[in-house]
Amino acid sequence: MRVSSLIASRPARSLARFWRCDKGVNAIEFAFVVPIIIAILLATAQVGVIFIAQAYLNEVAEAGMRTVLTNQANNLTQQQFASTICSNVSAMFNCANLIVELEPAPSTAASMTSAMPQFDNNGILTQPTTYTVVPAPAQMLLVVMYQWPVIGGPLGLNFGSLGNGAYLLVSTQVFMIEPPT
Amino acid sequence: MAAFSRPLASAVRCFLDNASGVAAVEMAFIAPVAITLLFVGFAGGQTLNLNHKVVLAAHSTTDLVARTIYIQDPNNPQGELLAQSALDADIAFSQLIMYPDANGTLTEVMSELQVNTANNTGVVIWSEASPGATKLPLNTVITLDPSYSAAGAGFLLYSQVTYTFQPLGGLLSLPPITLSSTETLTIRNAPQIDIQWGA
Repeated sequence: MRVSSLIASRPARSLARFWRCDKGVNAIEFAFVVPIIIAILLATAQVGVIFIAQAYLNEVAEAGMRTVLTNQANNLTQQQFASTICSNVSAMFNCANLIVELEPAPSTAASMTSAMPQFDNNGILTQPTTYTVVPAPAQMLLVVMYQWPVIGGPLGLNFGSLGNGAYLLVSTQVFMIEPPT
Repeated sequence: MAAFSRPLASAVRCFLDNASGVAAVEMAFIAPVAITLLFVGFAGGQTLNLNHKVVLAAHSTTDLVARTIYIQDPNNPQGELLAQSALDADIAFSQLIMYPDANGTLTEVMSELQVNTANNTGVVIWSEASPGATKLPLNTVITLDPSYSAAGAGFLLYSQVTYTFQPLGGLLSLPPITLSSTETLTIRNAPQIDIQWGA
């Protein structure tokens, strides 16, 4: 009886010593706090990067518009056009993932939204984008999109806007092609 | 009573003197503030981006109308014709520019002003609005920048775009923000644009 109670009390004493011991308390507190800090830091950095990327995408779309309205896109394929406008911002974007749609602008007010690229719940385009350049003078619609990958933070801090967790960056330009001089 | 309060006071003193878990307690104070700042920062970026789109919508749609392909108005030697349906389509392009953020609050009113160089004002001679918006009443007087009179413009296109949105989709109960932009442009291909109403 005495021997068994001795054996039983040894782990209990060890546990009590463990709870009383305050060595390494700072490390333990840090371990609790660090996921929150990392989540906030990651999310803050991502918010900044998302809006910088949006500003760059606006520049890309504006450069693309200028290429089209000055009749320099007439002989380009969709891939060539995307590469041309993406070349100046290739450090920011993966140009292969840039979504470009260029087509004559809708002629009626009722058919506006259906002219835009649509995504399913997994963030995949429901139909391929079109690329059509018509002779001047013509109203054109240029849509440049990019699914910006968003890394989810440890506490579920996530700014994704698509089903696949990415944040959809969109820049749209509507303009008139100028007649060649 | 005193016998009961003494152990309680000593427990409180003991709690206050205890420094263990101080980092976690401090984090509990700081985390809500930091997370609120993060979301407010996101709302600020969202607002700046949407404001850029509103300004672009006002400029692009007005520019499209200003570049209307020239068709002589038989009743007005200095006027070109634009069908109302084409004007409505031009105004509706603002929805595309705001995509994917266009909502029911996006409105645009496009008008033509006859410039009065004597007092730097413009008088509305026609006005068209997107669904849900109100046209400017005819003969409304708009104050213009003197540069338009100085440039010799006789007629101007004048558009107003407004857009209201709820930052963070209502999270943090931030109040709705209304963005607006006004654009004034000269007409490119003729001195004046005449609208074919009903066409």
